[in-house]
Amino acid sequence: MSSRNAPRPFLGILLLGFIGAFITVASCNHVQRVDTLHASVAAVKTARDQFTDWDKSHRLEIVDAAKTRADADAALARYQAKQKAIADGFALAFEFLAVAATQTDDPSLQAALAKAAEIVEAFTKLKGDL
Amino acid sequence: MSAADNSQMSRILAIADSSLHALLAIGSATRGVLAVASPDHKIPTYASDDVLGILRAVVAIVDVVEQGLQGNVSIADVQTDIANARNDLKATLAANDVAVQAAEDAKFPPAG
Repeated sequence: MSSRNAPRPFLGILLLGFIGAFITVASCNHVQRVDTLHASVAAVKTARDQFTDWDKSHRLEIVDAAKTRADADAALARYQAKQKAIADGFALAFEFLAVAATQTDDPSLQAALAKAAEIVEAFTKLKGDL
Repeated sequence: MSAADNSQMSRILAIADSSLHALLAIGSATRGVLAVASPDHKIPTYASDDVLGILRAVVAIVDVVEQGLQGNVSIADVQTDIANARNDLKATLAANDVAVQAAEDAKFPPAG
């Protein structure tokens, strides 16, 4: 395992803590709701940027380590099944946040925040596993 | 409210005000560090991806606090932000595909 691929939980913990803090203070107040959603979107975007940066580095490392094009293609295909799950998770988290932004109820907000925390955790786990 | 309560409240507000100013100052300083670090990746030797990620997270948090203080974030802004965030994810992953394909072609030139 290269140093770039080593488990690096700090950012995940930071972002999870950030999102978790907003889960605890989420309320029906409209202004607070907008602030909570805004902060959560910012946190998920930061995690998304980490994911896309890491995705590029990881795939380039796969190519770099491959002996043949066939090896590279096979390794990239194996990785991309996992990558797609995370990318879809981020898309779903944004979808939940978008839904929460059109509603005024607590459950939609709680679900969006939980989904956001879930994808950050899943990405952190992926980095640790690979 | 008694004089003692007033005094304590004043101290709490002063601490909160100082903390907020400190947070905003940290955000400003962090933006400066990232402005130097990010464009040409001059400092990866000293700062790991995680450190840069944490700095970016700090800036994102401070941005939110600053905008919250200004009170100028509407639900429409948030909706636009979410839509852009989804599109950016797709665009960046597509750009990664291109970069990886280019690296693969450079290492293993296609036949013909």
